[in-house]
Amino acid sequence: MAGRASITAEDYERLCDVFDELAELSSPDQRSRLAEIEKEDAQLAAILQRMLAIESESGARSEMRPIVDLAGAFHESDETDEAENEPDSPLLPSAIGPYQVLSQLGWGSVGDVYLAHQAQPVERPVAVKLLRHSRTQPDSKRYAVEARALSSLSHPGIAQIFDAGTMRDGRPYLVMEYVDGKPIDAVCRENDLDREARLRLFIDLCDAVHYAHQQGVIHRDLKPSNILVTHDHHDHEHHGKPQVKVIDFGIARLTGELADFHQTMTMHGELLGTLAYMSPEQLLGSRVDTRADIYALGVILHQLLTNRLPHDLAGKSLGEALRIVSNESPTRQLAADRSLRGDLETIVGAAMHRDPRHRYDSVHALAEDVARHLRFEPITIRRPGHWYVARKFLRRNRLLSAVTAAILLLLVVGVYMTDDARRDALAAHQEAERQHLEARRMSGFFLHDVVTRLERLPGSGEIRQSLMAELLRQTRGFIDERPNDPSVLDDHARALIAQANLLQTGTFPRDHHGAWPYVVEAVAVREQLAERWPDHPDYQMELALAYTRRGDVARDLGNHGSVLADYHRALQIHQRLVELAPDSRRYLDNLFWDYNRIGARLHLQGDSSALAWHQDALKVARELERRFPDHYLTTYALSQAHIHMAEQYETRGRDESALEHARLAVLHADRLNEIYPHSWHFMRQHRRVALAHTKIVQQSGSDAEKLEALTRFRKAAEAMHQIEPGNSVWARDMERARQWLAEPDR
Amino acid sequence: MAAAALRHQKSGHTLQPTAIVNELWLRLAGGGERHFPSRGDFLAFASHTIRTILVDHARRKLAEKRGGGARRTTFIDALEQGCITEPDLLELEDELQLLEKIHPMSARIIEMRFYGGMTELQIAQRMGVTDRTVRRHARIAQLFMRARQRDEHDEPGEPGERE
Repeated sequence: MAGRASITAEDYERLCDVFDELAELSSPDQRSRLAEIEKEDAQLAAILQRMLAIESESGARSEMRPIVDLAGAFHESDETDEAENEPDSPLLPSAIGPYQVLSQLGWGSVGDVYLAHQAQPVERPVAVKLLRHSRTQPDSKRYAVEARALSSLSHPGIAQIFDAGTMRDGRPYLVMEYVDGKPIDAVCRENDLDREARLRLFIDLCDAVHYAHQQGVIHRDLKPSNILVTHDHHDHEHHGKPQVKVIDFGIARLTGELADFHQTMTMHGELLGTLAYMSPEQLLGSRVDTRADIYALGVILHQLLTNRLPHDLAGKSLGEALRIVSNESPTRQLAADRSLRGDLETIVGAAMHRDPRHRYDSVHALAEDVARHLRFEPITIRRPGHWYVARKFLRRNRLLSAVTAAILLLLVVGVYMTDDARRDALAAHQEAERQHLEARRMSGFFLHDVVTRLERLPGSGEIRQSLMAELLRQTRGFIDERPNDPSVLDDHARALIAQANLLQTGTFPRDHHGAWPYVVEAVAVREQLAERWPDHPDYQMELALAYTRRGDVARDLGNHGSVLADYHRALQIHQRLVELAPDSRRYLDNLFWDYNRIGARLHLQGDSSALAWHQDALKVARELERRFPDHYLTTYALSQAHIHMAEQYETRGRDESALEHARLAVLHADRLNEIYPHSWHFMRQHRRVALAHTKIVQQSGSDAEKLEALTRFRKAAEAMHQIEPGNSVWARDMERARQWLAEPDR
Repeated sequence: MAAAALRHQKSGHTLQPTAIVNELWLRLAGGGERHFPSRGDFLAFASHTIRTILVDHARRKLAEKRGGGARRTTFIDALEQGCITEPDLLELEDELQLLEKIHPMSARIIEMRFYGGMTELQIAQRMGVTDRTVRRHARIAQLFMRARQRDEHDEPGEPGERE
């Protein structure tokens, strides 16, 4: 069972390719081919052999039979309208713990909610949430601890948690205050409340949420259906003050509801109603804090003001939702309405900022601004004008370097004016400085020159790795010497990334596991740099690149939960940088790769918005072509953009468009290969483009083009084989190309 | 074993869907505002829900057999009359989870085909790819999972130790 745990996404892709190839062969040919493969990769050969055996045993292409013929069932029952029928009651338990069940209040993805009667110590109606067993079922100890923490929340605006327990069969339940009310949005609509009344309800809501935040509890799932409004019945005739009650505070985390939800989401790209209230970081499954609640409050405020959601995400896939949230302003509708433009637009915009760091610091601050608006006082949050911030950002930078220069000048002049003793001290200091710089220059020499020069030398992986290890030891030592020098941290992060690159591309077999700790540390160092020196645009960019690399390694490890989140973090940073400095080639180039990676990732997840992301990428590549036509990396980006478009069209069966893009990709890849015939990356790109073109051309190309494509593919594979003779993929490529060339009609 | 779950055509028996549909509605009705722009979208979502229903049930069932707790009668008792057993489903689940890691697209195809009964064409339309792509991945993934199962049962191991 040695191989069981170690199969990676890369292995599987390869398995698919080889299987296709084998399936076309006669059985004696299969056997000899399998024998060849076995020499290179015994595990692969073994599993392929079993797959072929199973297929021949169970007859040609044994069909998978569905366990439930759901599609058929719905076809039949379309007319009967089962949704309207009350679900049968056998599922209603008579009692949950000591609580007598009266009726069912709701159904949820991880559990159901019942109205129940409590007899002791007080007689009152309660709401009981009974959880199903699920694979995310929290262990009972943690559950008890968290339930106790939640029950300590005591605020008139929060439905109180009374009790928690476990059924005999192990299903946990929670007992909560029963709230007889209606969702806040429905109350506003049905009673046609005016804007001031709505804003006052919103402020009450904020008070409740702020209270919980101060107690360290985040709601995580704020939405109108969790915010009920009740009326004080005693005072009904005098239109008693409506009371906001937030239900399910902190429950989402306790029950694992969101974890389950996110898994469903990422696997399905389905968007449910609640998605509209999720901050981008929640959409991506990252860790959240109070600022996720602030985002949701921003969405709710928008809804109370306009009766509509800021973004229409209904029925969108995860990829599409991300595109909308990344590209569209949440306050478009407010800006279009004269009565909402200005303060309220600014408040919603700040609450819903994509980047949590730019949102309100606290719910209290948000509520205060709404209250100020009601009192006709100026609000505190500034309009998030990109240009204002941007200009300031650049100006401050320029100023900073001018100031540094001035101080340096003063220091230098100062040296000549001091007495001997001080001069000696300074000289000693200078000597230390000189040595330090010399050592760093040496390490920089290793990093940039030796290691990269060796890249071209076949089989140099091991030497490069030991050089890198030595270099890392040094850069780490420099940090101990000068923990506050950004350039030392910068060098170290660079070395970490270089080491990860080396493990992933410079050696064979690739070592993705080995690369992981390096990219994790690199991100940590880069985050520190970007945080401590926020005015340095290059540190922002390098942070984005570190996220990208961490995402890449997670992808190669088959760890797909965090991949999109990291790519999206990089995208956000690069979008901002491109806005700040539209003339920078590097920012634009990086932005291209972000779109490209997200598209490729979503495609693998079967999300059909991949095409749209690749179209965005192509747009950026064309912008690169317009501004920087002669740069070789523009050529690289263009070949990448076109090959992905070609593959997108190919999977959709649009052969003409696929071929068109494939030809363009080939054009650029050939050019790249001419300029840099020895770069590993460009050689690999050339091979990849040639292979895709070869496949696409089989569908719709002329014989001449087929031959041309195959020849290119063979050459590209041979070149790869030469620098990585141990990698069986290239050897097999050559063999494949040879066979295809021998029988061109296959 | 999972292979049995995938094949299960020995008796040519497919479960009666009505009961499952009821449970599905129970779960869907609780979510409030859900929008499914097309039947394909709905079926894809339902496939996943059914998968969790069946797997949860199988887990509970096995736990009860060991612990001897109170019986909760639900529709899935029908499973016992079919030829798929709970351990089959759970093993299939393990394999699907692996596939989700290394090739999520294939895992979704299997899920929609096996748990939702969607046709290759429906799946292809839903995912925006050709049915050729769907067929290829379904075939390879299915054989892959079965091959791995066989591998496991050929070698000495402790079947009860997993999960």
